[in-house]
Amino acid sequence: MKIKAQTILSHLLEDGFDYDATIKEVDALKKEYQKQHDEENANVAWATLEIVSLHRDYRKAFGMLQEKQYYEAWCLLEQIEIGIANLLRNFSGVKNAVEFISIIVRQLQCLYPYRVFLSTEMVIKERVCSICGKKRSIRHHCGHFPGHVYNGEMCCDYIEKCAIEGVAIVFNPEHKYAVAFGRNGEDDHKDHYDYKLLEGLMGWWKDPYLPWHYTTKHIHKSPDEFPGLKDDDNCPCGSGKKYIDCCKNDSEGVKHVVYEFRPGIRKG
Amino acid sequence: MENLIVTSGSHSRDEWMTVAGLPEELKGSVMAADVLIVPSMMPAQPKAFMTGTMDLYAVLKTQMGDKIEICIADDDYEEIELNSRTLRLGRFCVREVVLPVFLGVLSAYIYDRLKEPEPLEVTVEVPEYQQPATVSFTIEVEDSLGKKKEFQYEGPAADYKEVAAEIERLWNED
Repeated sequence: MKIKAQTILSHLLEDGFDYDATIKEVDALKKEYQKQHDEENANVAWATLEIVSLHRDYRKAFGMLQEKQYYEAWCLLEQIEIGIANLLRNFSGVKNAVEFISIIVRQLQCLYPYRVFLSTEMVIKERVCSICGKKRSIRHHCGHFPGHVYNGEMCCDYIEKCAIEGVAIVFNPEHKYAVAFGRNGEDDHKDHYDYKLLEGLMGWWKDPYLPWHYTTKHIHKSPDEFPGLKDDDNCPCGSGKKYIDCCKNDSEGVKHVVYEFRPGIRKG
Repeated sequence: MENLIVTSGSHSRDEWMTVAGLPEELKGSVMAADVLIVPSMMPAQPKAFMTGTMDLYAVLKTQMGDKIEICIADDDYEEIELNSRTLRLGRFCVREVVLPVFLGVLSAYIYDRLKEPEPLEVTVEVPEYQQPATVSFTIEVEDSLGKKKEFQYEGPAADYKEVAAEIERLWNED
């Protein structure tokens, strides 16, 4: 399986690579290894499937951004982020296979205007292990840990009984998909977020495997650059405060962040 | 260390057993344990434990055996999942003799749970949800002579080793 995996990964970025056919083929191999209880090969097949799926989804997310389906792309980017974390938790040696998309995904997430999220507070009362199906109990652990891979399957919990205690507004959510969307009345289903940073990027980023990075620079603009700006208007700096309560009191002017995009990857 | 709060510990094991409504048959092992995981004392769910405690308990059990116990009956065990992306480890009562070992096991657990990509370039605008992972926990240390101290930490997971060393230093300073 390792040789097969290496062959697949060496062709992964080629134009015309058939992700779905490859996934089907590797999945069939994985099932065969699982039947034989060949855990090592089943786990390698799982990792191969994950890598191929991550690259397929990454291309899909890129396509969504091209089509201006920003929230849909956001949700898929989160799935990719989670998938990479799960993969590397079990197979840290395959970092190179996903490192590029990991960096680009995080950069893309930073360019979204989303800052406020809704998040549930939940009490989990009963759950079962996805690997062995046993009810989880504090003193009788089944030996399978969520997030770890066993015989080609990743362990997770199936929640059987839970209670939602509340919903909170957070800035650093457990689940990024829970974006807070503003509405002007019940019939307003428009997305009011401003995606111009992503629009600017997608104007010249035409190949998902073309590396890029961005830098930011803080400057101040003269209030004269905002003709007609009134005290009660939203501050042009984007703080969400009224102008009179924000940059009007700043002797240097209106705060402004300049984003500059450049080709190539810059690591942290 | 700004994210580490040190107070004099105030809870006894009897109090924790009362909070948990612990049955008689578990009281012996709870009193004997060198590391006791205690309920979260969250206002709405004081008996609940932080999400992931079941797995942490299993890991600690593997590493420290019978020295570990949790202050709850099996049937009463519930976990509470809170809102933001912080690894909440919960509250622990720890006897002085096992403090270094316990802090070491916790370090390995945090490392496994938070294997994350390297943070992005810090000089660029990065939203709060892309900041490095944070961790929180409360450890109440006690010795056989009745000395107690409580250490409460919430901050960057990357600082854990420094925090663990500081906890040991502060415990030993008097």
